[in-house]
Amino acid sequence: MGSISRVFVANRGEIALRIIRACREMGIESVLGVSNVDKNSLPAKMADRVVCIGPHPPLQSYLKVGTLITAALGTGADAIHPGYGFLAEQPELGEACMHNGLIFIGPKPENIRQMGDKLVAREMVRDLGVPVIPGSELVHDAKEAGAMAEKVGFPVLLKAAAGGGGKGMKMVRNPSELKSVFEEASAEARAAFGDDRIYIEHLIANARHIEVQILADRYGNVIHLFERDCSLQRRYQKMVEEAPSPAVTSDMREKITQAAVAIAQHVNYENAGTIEMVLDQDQGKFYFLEMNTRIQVEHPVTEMITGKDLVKEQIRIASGNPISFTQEEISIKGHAVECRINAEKPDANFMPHPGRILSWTPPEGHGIRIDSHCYSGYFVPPYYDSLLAKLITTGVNRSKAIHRMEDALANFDVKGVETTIPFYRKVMNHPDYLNGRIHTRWVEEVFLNR
Amino acid sequence: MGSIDHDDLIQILEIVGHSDIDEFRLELGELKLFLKKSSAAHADRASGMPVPERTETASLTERAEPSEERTTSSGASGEVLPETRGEPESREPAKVTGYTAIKAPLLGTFYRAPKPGAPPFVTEGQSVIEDDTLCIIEVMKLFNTIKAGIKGTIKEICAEDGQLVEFDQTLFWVEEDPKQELREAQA
Repeated sequence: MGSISRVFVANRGEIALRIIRACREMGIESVLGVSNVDKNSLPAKMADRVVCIGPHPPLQSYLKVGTLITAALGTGADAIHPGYGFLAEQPELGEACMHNGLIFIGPKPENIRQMGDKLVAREMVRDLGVPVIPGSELVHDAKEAGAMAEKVGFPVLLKAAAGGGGKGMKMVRNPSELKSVFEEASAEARAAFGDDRIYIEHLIANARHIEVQILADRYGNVIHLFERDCSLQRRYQKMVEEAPSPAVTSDMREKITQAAVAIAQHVNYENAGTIEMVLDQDQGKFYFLEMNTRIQVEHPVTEMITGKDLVKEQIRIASGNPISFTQEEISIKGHAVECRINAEKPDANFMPHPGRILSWTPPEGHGIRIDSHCYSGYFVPPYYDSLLAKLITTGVNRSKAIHRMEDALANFDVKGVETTIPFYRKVMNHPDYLNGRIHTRWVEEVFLNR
Repeated sequence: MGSIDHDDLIQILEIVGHSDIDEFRLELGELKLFLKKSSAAHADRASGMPVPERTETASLTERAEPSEERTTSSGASGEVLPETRGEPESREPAKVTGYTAIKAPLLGTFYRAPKPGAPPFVTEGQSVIEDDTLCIIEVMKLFNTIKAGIKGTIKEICAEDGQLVEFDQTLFWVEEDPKQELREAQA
């Protein structure tokens, strides 16, 4: 493996732009593969070269390993950055890179495979002495699921072994609905992941979603960049993230970051990764949830409190360099909050609302960061996810960062498509959020059940 | 009647094609269809609108979303373009009306010959019929044979042997045989 001088970006939207910008700062050329509807996108304008990889359906463009490899080789790239989503956690892309002399900017295929099977990952983590949520074992049928559910106690979550990222999960409140939900869950898992293995977890009612960012290089250095709190979710999809977590004490921080580092060390992890945990706020206990083997959407909040550029670090590590700083050299500076601005109608059950952005006027000023591929006149295609922008604000403490977010949201003017901005304005003013008294189903309970 | 499907659109194209109508507009709820024949399309050249190289031009948008592309027919026989106001495609060289673009159906490496050193499938000026192979596009050792799909004469070969071609990139310009067009319209 050698140094990287031209990166093929196998993604779209804001993360493609984020990667292209990192490349520019490092003096690395970027080649962007686009579907035909993304030819005029902002990342396409920013990249040094653009190639059209196929029509708009992801299966015919962004998800085609062979096409991406051919495009990378044909444009003289020496590395591929997968971003998040699409092929980021498919070991096939990393393997194809290896076979074709390309550098995959991400973890080794075996890391992705190990952590991609949530059941395997859980067992391995448990063997390391890191707590896992009670109940997590493979169940073969509804009867076995019923017995396991009684043992761990209702309500329970049925989860797909091949799932992750909030997908492939179903809640069961009582024994009477278990049989039908089990059958639904395994049919859905088979359809979505080609794998119908299901396991059961006790549902933690008053839970927070805490995750630890780690970086690891091939020289055995593993460091953590503290935690992010992503408890504000709707149907297991993250909406607001912040760092550090208002619910994590310094004692707890020590424990979860050490557990995260131990997991990464155990699998000889390389590149950026995230260990997701569930914090049971009633018991004051944390449990391993899953590991994400990619750069995450919410990585900017970590960058804002540590001052480190995670995407540039990914590229450095993939080039064979050690991590450019040590654990002792980083500390938490202030607080950062991120809102995922989506093209959705908050009042219509967050229905996606793609279309032409007639005017796009984002807020500006000290302590405001926006990662976005949007501009006035941009057409938001209906074929991909609805993320328009990540609005990140910082402050010396949590309340200052939230106050700045309120102000930034009030000055974020988008016309032509509906966005989640009005929803976040309500959140930023809600006493529960301001006081850090939320849990992972807070949005459903406070905003959606009325 | 709320929407038009693929077959309906083909029928509309045929009816308009056979008629004396120069322009045809149809609005059904959120669906808008605009057809313009080449004689009428010439006038648009001056205004900078991209005009495809076919005798019939169809522009179909749904929910008035300009990027919504609907491919109503494959390959070279009749193109359906999105309304691209403001951002015209600049890649395509301007061509005389009557030439048909044979475009790459996928990204890959373009090969003009079946193997290195072998004579090319086609050369400029050569006549081809529908089933003639024009080139190969390779993606990771998978060789995709690209056929002419129409009868006519190769006027220009736009891609270089052994080079990467993008999805939808024009590979060949073909001057169609007029008799062939008539036969197609009757089919």
